[in-house]
Amino acid sequence: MNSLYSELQWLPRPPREFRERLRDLENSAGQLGRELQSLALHALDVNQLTKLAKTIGKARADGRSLEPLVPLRLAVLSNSTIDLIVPALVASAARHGIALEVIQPSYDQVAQEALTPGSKVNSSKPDAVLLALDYRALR
Amino acid sequence: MDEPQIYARLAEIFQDVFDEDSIAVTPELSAKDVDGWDSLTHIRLMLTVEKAFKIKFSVPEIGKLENVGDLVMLIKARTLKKQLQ
Repeated sequence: MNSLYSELQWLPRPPREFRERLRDLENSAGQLGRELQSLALHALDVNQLTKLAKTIGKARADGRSLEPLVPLRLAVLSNSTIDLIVPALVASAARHGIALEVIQPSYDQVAQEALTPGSKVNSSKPDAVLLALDYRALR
Repeated sequence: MDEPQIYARLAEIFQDVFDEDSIAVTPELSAKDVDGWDSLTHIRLMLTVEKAFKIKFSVPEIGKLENVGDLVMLIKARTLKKQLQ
């Protein structure tokens, strides 16, 4: 893959103390959303994206405000394993000013989740639904 | 790159991947010893090791690994092969 994309070369390199700054945010009284966005603005690798997404998830679970990030609830229906993509979506959304919450139903439950009124996806009332389907499973 | 250097680099990688500073990276260390070392984290770990050492593993090679000692031997063999090319 072209390193322009795989290394996000148009973004600044992350600070050396990225982990420490992220940890400090867990107990910070400052504006969490703005701090998270400032860290998300760097060319983060898969581990940094995962940590950032985890911090966002924990803050949401703790009831902390993520303002000025704009909340967006996205359901992802897929017939592939998307577990490694979800943290990248959440952390990259913060770079664009969005506090993304991903609703991820069980693996390969696309039709059941879409058609059952009380499914995890339908009951979570997402703002948008992403259908991430592998064509080989469409028959 | 000799074994102590590989273990030192792996220690940094394990701290980063598992977000845990107290992991002692020894030859006997395996997935059952570390909280959160599941199949998905294993993929992240392998990707991070490949990137750090500028090498690539095949799926069968990854499947045969039973502990960190096996991983170090694989890294050693692969980096040596790269040097000889």
